[in-house]
Amino acid sequence: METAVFSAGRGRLATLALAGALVAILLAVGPGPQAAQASSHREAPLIAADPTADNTDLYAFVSPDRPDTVTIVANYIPFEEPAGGPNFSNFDENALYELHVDNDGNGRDDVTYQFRFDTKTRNGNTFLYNTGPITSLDDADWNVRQTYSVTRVQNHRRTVLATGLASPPANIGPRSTPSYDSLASAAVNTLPGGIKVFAGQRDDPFFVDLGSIFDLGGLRPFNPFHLIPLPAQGGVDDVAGYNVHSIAIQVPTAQLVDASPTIGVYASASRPALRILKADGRTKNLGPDVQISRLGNPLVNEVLIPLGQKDYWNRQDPEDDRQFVNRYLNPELAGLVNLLYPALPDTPTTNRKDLVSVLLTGVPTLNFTGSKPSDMLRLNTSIPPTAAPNRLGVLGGDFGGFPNGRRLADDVTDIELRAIACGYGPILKAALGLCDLQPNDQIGDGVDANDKAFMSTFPYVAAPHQGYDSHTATP
Amino acid sequence: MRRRLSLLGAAAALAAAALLFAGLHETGSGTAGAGVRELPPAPRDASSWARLGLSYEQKARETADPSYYTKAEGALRRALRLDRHDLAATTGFGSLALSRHRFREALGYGRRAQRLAPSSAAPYAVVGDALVELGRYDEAFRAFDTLARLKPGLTAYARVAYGRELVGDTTGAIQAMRLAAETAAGREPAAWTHWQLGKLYWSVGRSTEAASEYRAALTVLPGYVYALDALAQVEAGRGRVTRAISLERRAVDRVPLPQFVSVLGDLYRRAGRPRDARRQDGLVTVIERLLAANGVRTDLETALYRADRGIRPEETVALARLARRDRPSIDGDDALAWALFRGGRCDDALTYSQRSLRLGTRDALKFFHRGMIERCLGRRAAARAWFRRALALNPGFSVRWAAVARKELG
Repeated sequence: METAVFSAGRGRLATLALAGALVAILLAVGPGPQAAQASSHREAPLIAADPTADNTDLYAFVSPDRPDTVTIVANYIPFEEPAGGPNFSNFDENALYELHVDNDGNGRDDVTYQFRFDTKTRNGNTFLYNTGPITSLDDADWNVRQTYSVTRVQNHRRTVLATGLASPPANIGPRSTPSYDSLASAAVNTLPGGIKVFAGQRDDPFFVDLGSIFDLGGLRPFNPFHLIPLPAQGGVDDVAGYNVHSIAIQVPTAQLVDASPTIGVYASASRPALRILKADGRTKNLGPDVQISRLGNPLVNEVLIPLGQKDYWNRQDPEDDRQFVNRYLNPELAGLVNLLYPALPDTPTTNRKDLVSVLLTGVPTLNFTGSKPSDMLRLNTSIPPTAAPNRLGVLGGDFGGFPNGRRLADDVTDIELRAIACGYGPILKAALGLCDLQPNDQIGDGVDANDKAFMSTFPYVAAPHQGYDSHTATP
Repeated sequence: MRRRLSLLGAAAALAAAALLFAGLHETGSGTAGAGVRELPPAPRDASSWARLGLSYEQKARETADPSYYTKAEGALRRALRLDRHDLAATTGFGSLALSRHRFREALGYGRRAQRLAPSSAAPYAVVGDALVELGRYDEAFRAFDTLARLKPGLTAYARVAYGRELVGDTTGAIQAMRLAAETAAGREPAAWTHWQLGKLYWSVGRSTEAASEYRAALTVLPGYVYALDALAQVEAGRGRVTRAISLERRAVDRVPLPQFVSVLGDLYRRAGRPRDARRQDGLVTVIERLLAANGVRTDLETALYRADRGIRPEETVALARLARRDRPSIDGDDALAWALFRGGRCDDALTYSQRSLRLGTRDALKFFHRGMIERCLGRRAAARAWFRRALALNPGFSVRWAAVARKELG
């Protein structure tokens, strides 16, 4: 049921556990105005949800088991119910999915990986997804399957790296997909140049307490500090049990970086424009691809960009993000934090250069890429992976995590909450002079980890929840 | 502190709206008729009232119960009273006006929404929809093209499909609507796009493909009334009147929309059950009154309905003129042409029939109307050519009139 609330916006309600986030998100999403059809006139939906082009989260990190490579994971299709048959979710074959890497700080992509999908239905006379157990990626009992191609664009040169790669099936149940892990691992492909790719259904690695956030921006562990105090409690992960569709790629770092070890990463989804008629009066079906969603840092579109600008923001490329700098410098959200948490020290609401630095230019001495503002995940690839990662990333003294790139286990909800509330913690205060109000540097939603353990090897994202065992489906 | 509390109220309302939408989404997936999970919006927050208004519009879409229009209007009005620049409420008023066939009003709201958010896509849809019904096709198509360039997706593709259909490019329309269908998420939008695809196939007589799209719509959303009605017409076209009656009956039982009731009446007439047919005719009047009471203008539909049945021709011409003034589209032209023909004023009728076909739309019913007008003017060869065109395009184009066209051709 949550899909209605979250899907038309970008990603899920995501993380910032505050009323401001609610405002932004609720304005952005929900089924739009759709008129009833009282009689003859054509009434097409006005605002339609577009989950297959909805980029929920983006991750970029130095691969823990192959530290000379970088892994990028982009997730789409929010709140997939594991028991989603008979029409299990798939990537959209009309959409262009892209992962962009900027390696010189100018905000423009230098290396781009494009993914395009193709759906094949073996038997059009049945609506069934499968007619028997699926035991291999070319099993004849598997009726609706997807393959995909990977193309690299670099220096205006397009190189098709692979075509016809198999995406694994949805994780249906012990009868249809009895040995799911082997199907998924068979769908990990190694391409020339030591690149690995995977595209298919996985567990949603995101974790957040939506229930409390929707209750007036509440954070259960900090209930006593709220304008309407309640007893403190532990958080509840409301994304637990849902799946997404992941596109994951692992690339030798040398193929991505230029002179600096720091790269900027963002993901996008595009759809073809159409015209009623061409200039000569004939129709041509598909026009150029138009970017309709993009994602660098988590939550930016949801929380910082106002409703009337969201379509525009999504069409823009990061290299033009200077036009949005004021939204980062003077976030409306900061004022709402102050209002909802009168017991916490007030956070500054203007001139938030710290947010510009964390989200748009990189943090000096860590992942700074120059003065050009662009919303990307910035990853300093020279920082080796740690054996003991801290969920608070840089705020917790672990420089291999958000906002240096983003790992699956990074608790971006708590990190961004603390950033907005000026609670960067003693480490960043000492190292960089970032503000550290107390107890703002302790706040969080009380959900500190994903419901499923991540894998230790590519694609790292946990296997999808099985439909048979699922408890999320609405009856 | 007071300011704080009011903001707090706003947040509460937003949370409430979120729950409301979640609830609606559930009921929207096939159980039309389930109650709106009503949670009171904060009294002073425009956005939450706008959301409530929009949720009532969605409810109207699911149930076709026009009383939701009145509820929607109340909520949207409150939103605009609190913040006359609220984007969602302005857009919502635009789509509400479209639903009520108040197209000039809709255009005004659409333009206002465009001024509030010049880079947003949705206002272009409102503006384009209104312009189509106002007969300003060049501007409408520009709006749809812009929409498709700003934000390709179901909203835009469906409108490009409609534009292509209007200019007679059914193949291009099917391609665009197919894209819309592939983008559709959720049961209602999926069912809607299948239904539209089916109608496009049906409009050019591809009844097998049409039926399979309608069945697909019913698979995604069992009991989807628009697909039941459309499938009934396919069955009628195949001469299976009993089956058609049972399908149309199911549609009418769920939602007695005037066009469904009217088709059911025609089917009963064809089945030799005039008493049942007359009962449907009575029902149409009642439903139209209910729609009118909730702000929906049905002049055009009523005029067509009356002209079909030859009810008080002079009054019908006056009504059709009124309708066309509000809706100077090719449909307005066609209704007036048909009413004038039934009133025996075939010279005037010809002028409007020509206008109704000026875009090159391939619409068998409009072709048939033209044939009758030509015949009335004594131009038998021209009349026969139009009847042939209508039947060649779609042999089952109308439960009531396809047989007449065939008879005219002898």
